[in-house]
Amino acid sequence: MKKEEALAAFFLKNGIDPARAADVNDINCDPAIAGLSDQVDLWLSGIDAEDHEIFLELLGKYTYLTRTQCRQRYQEILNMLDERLRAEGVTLDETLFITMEAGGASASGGENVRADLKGYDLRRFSKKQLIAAQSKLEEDDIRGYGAVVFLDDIVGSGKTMWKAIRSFRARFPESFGQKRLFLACILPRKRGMKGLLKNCRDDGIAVEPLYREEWLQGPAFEKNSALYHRLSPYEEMIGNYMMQNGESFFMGFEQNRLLASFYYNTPNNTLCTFWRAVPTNLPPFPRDGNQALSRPEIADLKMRKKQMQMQSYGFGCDRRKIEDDR
Amino acid sequence: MTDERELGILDYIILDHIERYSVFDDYAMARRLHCSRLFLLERLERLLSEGYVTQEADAFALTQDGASAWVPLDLYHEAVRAPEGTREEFSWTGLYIPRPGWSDL
Repeated sequence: MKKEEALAAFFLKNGIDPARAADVNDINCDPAIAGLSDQVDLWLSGIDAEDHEIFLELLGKYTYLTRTQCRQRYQEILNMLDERLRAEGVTLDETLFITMEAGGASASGGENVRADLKGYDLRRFSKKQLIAAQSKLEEDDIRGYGAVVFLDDIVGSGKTMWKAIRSFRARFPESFGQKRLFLACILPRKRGMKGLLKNCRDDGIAVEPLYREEWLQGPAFEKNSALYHRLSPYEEMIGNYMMQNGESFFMGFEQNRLLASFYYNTPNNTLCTFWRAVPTNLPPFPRDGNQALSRPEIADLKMRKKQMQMQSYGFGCDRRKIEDDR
Repeated sequence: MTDERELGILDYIILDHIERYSVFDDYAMARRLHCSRLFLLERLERLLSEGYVTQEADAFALTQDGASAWVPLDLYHEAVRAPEGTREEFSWTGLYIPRPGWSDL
Protein backbone atom coordinates (compact mmCIF):
# COMPACT_ATOMS: atom_id res chain seq x y z
CA MET A 1 0.00 0.00 0.00
CA LYS A 2 1.33 3.42 -0.95
CA LYS A 3 1.07 6.48 1.24
CA GLU A 4 -1.59 8.05 -1.01
CA GLU A 5 -3.72 4.90 -0.85
CA ALA A 6 -3.40 4.72 2.94
CA LEU A 7 -4.40 8.36 3.31
CA ALA A 8 -7.34 7.91 0.93
CA ALA A 9 -8.52 4.90 2.99
CA PHE A 10 -8.05 6.92 6.20
CA PHE A 11 -10.08 9.87 4.88
CA LEU A 12 -12.81 7.59 3.55
CA LYS A 13 -13.11 5.59 6.78
CA ASN A 14 -13.37 8.72 8.88
CA GLY A 15 -15.52 10.81 6.55
CA ILE A 16 -12.88 13.53 6.28
CA ASP A 17 -12.65 15.96 3.39
CA PRO A 18 -8.94 16.95 3.36
CA ALA A 19 -9.69 20.14 1.41
CA ARG A 20 -12.06 21.32 4.15
CA ALA A 21 -9.58 20.30 6.83
CA ALA A 22 -7.03 22.62 5.20
CA ASP A 23 -9.44 25.55 4.85
CA VAL A 24 -8.91 27.97 7.76
CA ASN A 25 -12.35 29.46 7.18
CA ASP A 26 -14.09 26.09 7.52
CA ILE A 27 -15.43 24.80 10.84
CA ASN A 28 -13.88 21.42 9.90
CA CYS A 29 -10.42 22.97 9.65
CA ASP A 30 -7.92 20.72 11.39
CA PRO A 31 -4.20 21.51 11.13
CA ALA A 32 -3.30 17.94 12.15
CA ILE A 33 -5.21 16.55 9.17
CA ALA A 34 -4.05 19.30 6.80
CA GLY A 35 -0.44 18.45 7.58
CA LEU A 36 -0.94 14.69 7.84
CA SER A 37 0.66 13.79 4.51
CA ASP A 38 3.92 15.56 5.41
CA GLN A 39 3.82 14.20 8.94
CA VAL A 40 3.46 10.64 7.61
CA ASP A 41 6.60 11.19 5.51
CA LEU A 42 8.51 12.24 8.63
CA TRP A 43 7.09 9.30 10.56
CA LEU A 44 8.05 6.78 7.90
CA SER A 45 11.59 8.17 7.82
CA GLY A 46 12.12 6.54 11.23
CA ILE A 47 10.74 3.17 10.11
CA ASP A 48 12.53 0.57 8.00
CA ALA A 49 11.42 0.78 4.37
CA GLU A 50 10.36 -2.86 4.38
CA ASP A 51 7.94 -2.18 7.23
CA HIS A 52 6.33 0.91 5.67
CA GLU A 53 3.52 -1.09 4.13
CA ILE A 54 2.42 -2.52 7.49
CA PHE A 55 2.26 0.88 9.14
CA LEU A 56 0.46 2.38 6.15
CA GLU A 57 -2.12 -0.39 6.25
CA LEU A 58 -2.72 0.35 9.92
CA LEU A 59 -3.04 4.04 9.08
CA GLY A 60 -5.75 3.17 6.55
CA LYS A 61 -7.73 1.45 9.33
CA TYR A 62 -7.16 4.21 11.87
CA THR A 63 -10.16 5.85 13.58
CA TYR A 64 -10.00 9.64 13.82
CA LEU A 65 -12.93 11.43 15.37
CA THR A 66 -13.24 14.97 14.06
CA ARG A 67 -14.86 17.80 15.99
CA THR A 68 -18.10 17.34 14.07
CA GLN A 69 -18.13 13.58 14.66
CA CYS A 70 -17.43 13.97 18.38
CA ARG A 71 -20.33 16.38 18.74
CA GLN A 72 -22.62 14.16 16.70
CA ARG A 73 -21.82 11.20 18.93
CA TYR A 74 -22.54 13.19 22.09
CA GLN A 75 -25.77 14.30 20.47
CA GLU A 76 -26.70 10.67 19.80
CA ILE A 77 -25.93 9.82 23.43
CA LEU A 78 -28.25 12.62 24.54
CA ASN A 79 -31.00 11.40 22.21
CA MET A 80 -30.69 7.86 23.59
CA LEU A 81 -30.73 9.22 27.12
CA ASP A 82 -33.71 11.48 26.46
CA GLU A 83 -35.66 8.54 25.03
CA ARG A 84 -35.01 6.33 28.06
CA LEU A 85 -35.67 9.05 30.62
CA ARG A 86 -38.86 10.30 29.01
CA ALA A 87 -40.49 6.94 29.61
CA GLU A 88 -40.10 7.59 33.33
CA GLY A 89 -41.04 11.24 33.26
CA VAL A 90 -37.48 12.46 33.93
CA THR A 91 -36.08 15.27 31.77
CA LEU A 92 -32.55 16.09 30.70
CA ASP A 93 -32.68 19.08 33.05
CA GLU A 94 -32.81 16.63 35.93
CA THR A 95 -29.69 14.81 34.81
CA LEU A 96 -26.21 15.26 36.19
CA PHE A 97 -23.25 14.61 33.88
CA ILE A 98 -20.12 13.52 35.72
CA THR A 99 -16.98 13.76 33.61
CA MET A 100 -13.72 12.19 34.65
CA GLU A 101 -11.62 14.17 37.08
CA ALA A 102 -8.00 14.93 36.23
CA GLY A 103 -5.52 12.77 38.13
CA GLY A 104 -3.02 15.58 38.47
CA ALA A 105 -3.11 19.33 38.61
CA SER A 106 -2.92 19.79 34.85
CA ALA A 107 -5.94 19.99 32.56
CA SER A 108 -7.54 16.71 31.53
CA GLY A 109 -9.52 15.52 28.52
CA GLY A 110 -12.67 16.08 30.56
CA GLU A 111 -12.71 19.72 29.50
CA ASN A 112 -13.00 18.65 25.84
CA VAL A 113 -15.80 16.24 26.74
CA ARG A 114 -17.80 18.96 28.48
CA ALA A 115 -17.13 21.49 25.70
CA ASP A 116 -18.24 19.10 22.96
CA LEU A 117 -21.31 18.06 24.93
CA LYS A 118 -22.33 21.63 25.60
CA GLY A 119 -21.20 23.11 22.29
CA TYR A 120 -23.84 21.49 20.12
CA ASP A 121 -26.67 23.30 21.81
CA LEU A 122 -25.45 25.89 24.27
CA ARG A 123 -28.71 26.38 26.08
CA ARG A 124 -29.50 22.72 26.63
CA PHE A 125 -27.60 22.40 29.90
CA SER A 126 -26.92 24.62 32.84
CA LYS A 127 -23.40 24.98 34.16
CA LYS A 128 -24.37 23.08 37.32
CA GLN A 129 -25.21 19.92 35.37
CA LEU A 130 -21.71 19.39 33.96
CA ILE A 131 -19.47 18.19 36.75
CA ALA A 132 -15.72 18.51 36.33
CA ALA A 133 -14.62 17.44 39.82
CA GLN A 134 -16.97 15.11 41.64
CA SER A 135 -14.65 15.22 44.68
CA LYS A 136 -15.93 18.76 45.25
CA LEU A 137 -19.60 17.81 45.03
CA GLU A 138 -21.76 18.11 48.12
CA GLU A 139 -24.98 16.29 48.88
CA ASP A 140 -26.89 19.53 48.19
CA ASP A 141 -25.43 19.76 44.69
CA ILE A 142 -26.89 16.44 43.62
CA ARG A 143 -30.27 16.79 45.30
CA GLY A 144 -33.12 17.11 42.82
CA TYR A 145 -31.42 15.18 40.03
CA GLY A 146 -33.15 11.95 38.98
CA ALA A 147 -30.36 10.56 36.80
CA VAL A 148 -26.57 10.54 36.75
CA VAL A 149 -24.48 9.95 33.63
CA PHE A 150 -20.82 9.04 34.00
CA LEU A 151 -19.34 10.41 30.82
CA ASP A 152 -15.93 10.17 29.16
CA ASP A 153 -14.60 10.36 25.62
CA ILE A 154 -13.01 6.90 25.77
CA VAL A 155 -13.44 3.80 27.89
CA GLY A 156 -10.13 2.04 27.32
CA SER A 157 -9.32 -0.27 30.21
CA GLY A 158 -12.47 0.93 32.02
CA LYS A 159 -10.49 1.67 35.18
CA THR A 160 -11.01 5.44 35.17
CA MET A 161 -14.76 5.23 34.90
CA TRP A 162 -14.98 2.38 37.41
CA LYS A 163 -13.02 4.50 39.87
CA ALA A 164 -15.41 7.42 39.32
CA ILE A 165 -18.48 5.23 39.88
CA ARG A 166 -17.06 3.70 43.07
CA SER A 167 -15.99 7.07 44.40
CA PHE A 168 -19.46 8.50 43.77
CA ARG A 169 -21.07 5.55 45.56
CA ALA A 170 -18.71 5.87 48.51
CA ARG A 171 -19.40 9.59 48.91
CA PHE A 172 -23.17 9.51 48.40
CA PRO A 173 -24.32 6.05 49.43
CA GLU A 174 -27.93 7.11 50.01
CA SER A 175 -28.43 9.13 46.84
CA PHE A 176 -26.60 6.53 44.78
CA GLY A 177 -29.35 3.95 45.11
CA GLN A 178 -32.09 6.45 44.35
CA LYS A 179 -30.81 7.74 41.03
CA ARG A 180 -30.92 6.13 37.65
CA LEU A 181 -27.35 5.54 36.51
CA PHE A 182 -25.87 5.59 33.04
CA LEU A 183 -22.40 5.32 31.64
CA ALA A 184 -21.58 6.78 28.27
CA CYS A 185 -18.64 7.37 25.97
CA ILE A 186 -18.06 8.10 22.29
CA LEU A 187 -15.16 5.66 21.84
CA PRO A 188 -15.72 2.45 23.82
CA ARG A 189 -13.15 -0.32 23.76
CA LYS A 190 -14.87 -3.68 23.57
CA ARG A 191 -13.07 -5.43 26.42
CA GLY A 192 -12.88 -2.32 28.60
CA MET A 193 -16.62 -1.77 28.38
CA LYS A 194 -17.32 -5.45 28.97
CA GLY A 195 -15.13 -5.45 32.09
CA LEU A 196 -16.68 -2.24 33.38
CA LEU A 197 -20.22 -3.58 33.03
CA LYS A 198 -19.17 -6.81 34.71
CA ASN A 199 -17.67 -4.90 37.64
CA CYS A 200 -20.94 -3.00 38.04
CA ARG A 201 -22.99 -6.21 37.89
CA ASP A 202 -20.72 -7.96 40.40
CA ASP A 203 -21.06 -5.02 42.78
CA GLY A 204 -24.84 -4.89 42.36
CA ILE A 205 -24.79 -1.52 40.60
CA ALA A 206 -27.62 -1.10 38.10
CA VAL A 207 -26.11 0.96 35.32
CA GLU A 208 -27.18 1.35 31.71
CA PRO A 209 -24.59 1.85 28.94
CA LEU A 210 -25.15 4.55 26.34
CA TYR A 211 -23.23 4.07 23.09
CA ARG A 212 -23.72 2.58 19.64
CA GLU A 213 -22.44 -0.88 18.80
CA GLU A 214 -20.63 0.46 15.73
CA TRP A 215 -18.51 2.72 17.93
CA LEU A 216 -16.89 -0.25 19.68
CA GLN A 217 -13.15 -0.55 19.11
CA GLY A 218 -11.17 -3.76 19.05
CA PRO A 219 -7.40 -4.22 19.07
CA ALA A 220 -5.52 -3.53 15.83
CA PHE A 221 -4.30 -7.14 15.89
CA GLU A 222 -4.35 -10.14 18.19
CA LYS A 223 -1.71 -10.68 20.82
CA ASN A 224 1.08 -12.95 19.61
CA SER A 225 -0.09 -12.69 16.00
CA ALA A 226 2.53 -12.28 13.26
CA LEU A 227 1.78 -8.57 13.12
CA TYR A 228 2.21 -8.29 16.88
CA HIS A 229 5.73 -9.73 16.66
CA ARG A 230 6.60 -7.64 13.63
CA LEU A 231 5.65 -4.41 15.39
CA SER A 232 7.02 -5.35 18.80
CA PRO A 233 10.58 -4.03 18.25
CA TYR A 234 9.23 -0.57 17.31
CA GLU A 235 6.69 -0.51 20.12
CA GLU A 236 9.32 -1.61 22.63
CA MET A 237 11.85 0.94 21.52
CA ILE A 238 9.35 3.82 21.49
CA GLY A 239 7.15 2.72 24.40
CA ASN A 240 10.03 2.06 26.76
CA TYR A 241 12.02 5.17 25.87
CA MET A 242 12.71 7.18 29.03
CA MET A 243 9.96 5.57 31.04
CA GLN A 244 8.59 7.49 33.99
CA ASN A 245 7.80 5.47 37.12
CA GLY A 246 8.32 2.29 35.13
CA GLU A 247 5.28 3.11 32.96
CA SER A 248 5.75 1.62 29.51
CA PHE A 249 3.56 2.42 26.52
CA PHE A 250 4.44 -0.76 24.67
CA MET A 251 1.41 -1.60 22.48
CA GLY A 252 -0.47 1.27 24.16
CA PHE A 253 -1.64 1.57 27.76
CA GLU A 254 -2.11 -1.94 29.20
CA GLN A 255 -1.34 -3.24 25.71
CA ASN A 256 -4.78 -2.14 24.49
CA ARG A 257 -3.46 -1.91 20.89
CA LEU A 258 -6.06 0.61 19.75
CA LEU A 259 -5.84 2.67 16.59
CA ALA A 260 -7.79 5.79 17.44
CA SER A 261 -7.47 9.54 18.01
CA PHE A 262 -9.71 12.46 18.79
CA TYR A 263 -9.21 15.78 17.04
CA TYR A 264 -7.85 17.20 20.30
CA ASN A 265 -5.69 14.32 21.51
CA THR A 266 -4.74 10.68 21.13
CA PRO A 267 -5.60 8.27 23.93
CA ASN A 268 -2.59 6.43 25.35
CA ASN A 269 -4.40 3.13 24.65
CA THR A 270 -3.38 3.61 21.00
CA LEU A 271 -0.22 1.92 19.70
CA CYS A 272 2.51 4.25 20.89
CA THR A 273 4.23 4.31 17.48
CA PHE A 274 1.28 6.47 16.33
CA TRP A 275 1.49 9.09 19.08
CA ARG A 276 4.71 9.01 21.11
CA ALA A 277 7.35 11.48 19.97
CA VAL A 278 10.89 10.31 20.70
CA PRO A 279 14.09 11.03 18.76
CA THR A 280 13.48 8.00 16.52
CA ASN A 281 9.77 8.54 16.05
CA LEU A 282 7.87 11.57 14.73
CA PRO A 283 4.32 10.27 15.02
CA PRO A 284 1.34 11.26 12.88
CA PHE A 285 -0.97 11.87 15.88
CA PRO A 286 1.20 13.21 18.72
CA ARG A 287 -0.33 13.16 22.16
CA ASP A 288 -0.36 15.93 24.76
CA GLY A 289 1.44 14.74 27.88
CA ASN A 290 3.01 11.32 28.41
CA GLN A 291 5.72 12.35 26.00
CA ALA A 292 9.39 11.87 26.65
CA LEU A 293 10.76 14.58 28.93
CA SER A 294 12.32 17.48 27.07
CA ARG A 295 14.82 18.32 29.83
CA PRO A 296 15.77 15.04 31.48
CA GLU A 297 17.41 14.66 34.85
CA ILE A 298 20.87 13.13 34.91
CA ALA A 299 19.48 10.16 36.86
CA ASP A 300 16.98 9.55 34.04
CA LEU A 301 19.75 9.70 31.46
CA LYS A 302 21.75 7.15 33.41
CA MET A 303 18.75 4.87 33.56
CA ARG A 304 18.14 5.41 29.85
CA LYS A 305 21.73 4.46 29.06
CA LYS A 306 21.27 1.26 31.01
CA GLN A 307 17.97 0.52 29.31
CA MET A 308 19.32 1.28 25.86
CA GLN A 309 22.18 -1.12 26.32
CA MET A 310 19.78 -3.87 27.26
CA GLN A 311 17.25 -2.93 24.62
CA SER A 312 19.67 -2.60 21.75
CA TYR A 313 20.80 -6.13 22.40
CA GLY A 314 17.18 -7.35 22.60
CA PHE A 315 16.21 -5.28 19.59
CA GLY A 316 19.06 -6.74 17.55
CA CYS A 317 18.02 -10.26 18.55
CA ASP A 318 14.41 -9.60 17.58
CA ARG A 319 15.37 -8.12 14.22
CA ARG A 320 17.63 -11.02 13.52
CA LYS A 321 14.85 -13.44 14.40
CA ILE A 322 12.43 -11.63 12.05
CA GLU A 323 14.98 -11.73 9.23
CA ASP A 324 15.64 -15.41 9.88
CA ASP A 325 11.92 -16.15 9.83
CA ARG A 326 11.48 -14.52 6.43
CA MET B 1 -31.44 42.93 24.76
CA THR B 2 -32.10 41.88 28.34
CA ASP B 3 -28.97 43.27 29.92
CA GLU B 4 -27.29 46.60 29.30
CA ARG B 5 -23.90 45.46 30.52
CA GLU B 6 -20.74 46.79 28.95
CA LEU B 7 -19.14 44.24 26.63
CA GLY B 8 -15.60 43.11 27.36
CA ILE B 9 -12.75 42.39 24.97
CA LEU B 10 -13.61 38.68 24.91
CA ASP B 11 -17.18 39.50 23.86
CA TYR B 12 -15.82 41.65 21.02
CA ILE B 13 -13.46 38.85 19.94
CA ILE B 14 -16.37 36.39 19.83
CA LEU B 15 -18.65 38.80 17.96
CA ASP B 16 -15.91 39.56 15.44
CA HIS B 17 -15.22 35.86 14.89
CA ILE B 18 -18.90 35.13 14.28
CA GLU B 19 -19.29 38.11 11.95
CA ARG B 20 -16.38 36.88 9.84
CA TYR B 21 -16.86 33.11 9.85
CA SER B 22 -20.48 32.46 10.93
CA VAL B 23 -19.20 29.57 13.05
CA PHE B 24 -17.55 29.36 16.42
CA ASP B 25 -14.55 27.10 16.74
CA ASP B 26 -14.11 27.16 20.50
CA TYR B 27 -11.28 24.61 20.33
CA ALA B 28 -9.10 26.69 17.99
CA MET B 29 -9.91 29.93 19.80
CA ALA B 30 -9.15 28.43 23.22
CA ARG B 31 -5.75 27.34 21.95
CA ARG B 32 -5.04 30.78 20.53
CA LEU B 33 -6.13 32.61 23.68
CA HIS B 34 -4.71 29.99 26.07
CA CYS B 35 -7.97 29.69 27.94
CA SER B 36 -10.60 27.08 28.69
CA ARG B 37 -13.09 26.04 26.00
CA LEU B 38 -15.93 26.09 28.49
CA PHE B 39 -15.04 29.62 29.52
CA LEU B 40 -15.50 30.73 25.90
CA LEU B 41 -18.70 28.74 25.50
CA GLU B 42 -20.13 30.32 28.63
CA ARG B 43 -19.37 33.79 27.21
CA LEU B 44 -21.01 32.81 23.95
CA GLU B 45 -24.02 31.47 25.83
CA ARG B 46 -24.31 34.80 27.58
CA LEU B 47 -24.19 36.66 24.26
CA LEU B 48 -26.93 34.34 23.02
CA SER B 49 -29.15 34.94 26.01
CA GLU B 50 -28.56 38.70 25.82
CA GLY B 51 -29.69 38.71 22.21
CA TYR B 52 -26.42 39.58 20.45
CA VAL B 53 -26.11 36.25 18.66
CA THR B 54 -28.39 33.53 17.28
CA GLN B 55 -27.52 29.85 16.86
CA GLU B 56 -28.76 27.34 14.30
CA ALA B 57 -26.94 24.00 14.84
CA ASP B 58 -23.29 24.77 14.07
CA ALA B 59 -24.00 28.17 12.49
CA PHE B 60 -24.04 31.46 14.35
CA ALA B 61 -25.10 34.94 13.26
CA LEU B 62 -25.15 38.40 14.77
CA THR B 63 -28.52 39.89 15.54
CA GLN B 64 -29.22 43.56 14.88
CA ASP B 65 -27.93 44.36 18.38
CA GLY B 66 -24.90 42.17 17.77
CA ALA B 67 -24.16 43.87 14.46
CA SER B 68 -24.35 47.33 15.97
CA ALA B 69 -22.10 46.29 18.87
CA TRP B 70 -19.62 44.55 16.56
CA VAL B 71 -16.26 46.24 16.05
CA PRO B 72 -13.89 44.91 13.38
CA LEU B 73 -10.81 43.83 15.29
CA ASP B 74 -8.17 44.51 12.67
CA LEU B 75 -6.99 47.38 10.58
CA TYR B 76 -8.02 45.86 7.29
CA HIS B 77 -11.04 47.38 5.64
CA GLU B 78 -12.71 46.47 2.40
CA ALA B 79 -11.91 48.98 -0.38
CA VAL B 80 -14.70 51.45 -0.82
CA ARG B 81 -16.65 50.65 -3.94
CA ALA B 82 -16.77 53.37 -6.59
CA PRO B 83 -20.27 54.82 -6.96
CA GLU B 84 -22.26 53.18 -9.75
CA GLY B 85 -21.28 54.50 -13.20
CA THR B 86 -18.24 56.48 -12.08
CA ARG B 87 -15.85 53.63 -12.83
CA GLU B 88 -16.18 54.30 -16.58
CA GLU B 89 -15.29 57.96 -16.16
CA PHE B 90 -11.74 57.11 -15.20
CA SER B 91 -9.25 56.50 -17.96
CA TRP B 92 -7.48 53.22 -17.35
CA THR B 93 -5.39 53.41 -20.55
CA GLY B 94 -1.81 54.55 -20.58
CA LEU B 95 0.48 54.96 -17.66
CA TYR B 96 1.21 58.52 -16.60
CA ILE B 97 4.94 59.15 -16.66
CA PRO B 98 5.99 62.71 -15.87
CA ARG B 99 8.20 64.38 -18.39
CA PRO B 100 11.83 65.06 -17.40
CA GLY B 101 12.16 68.27 -15.50
CA TRP B 102 8.50 68.34 -14.41
CA SER B 103 9.46 69.37 -10.93
CA ASP B 104 11.29 72.47 -12.25
CA LEU B 105 8.01 73.96 -13.36
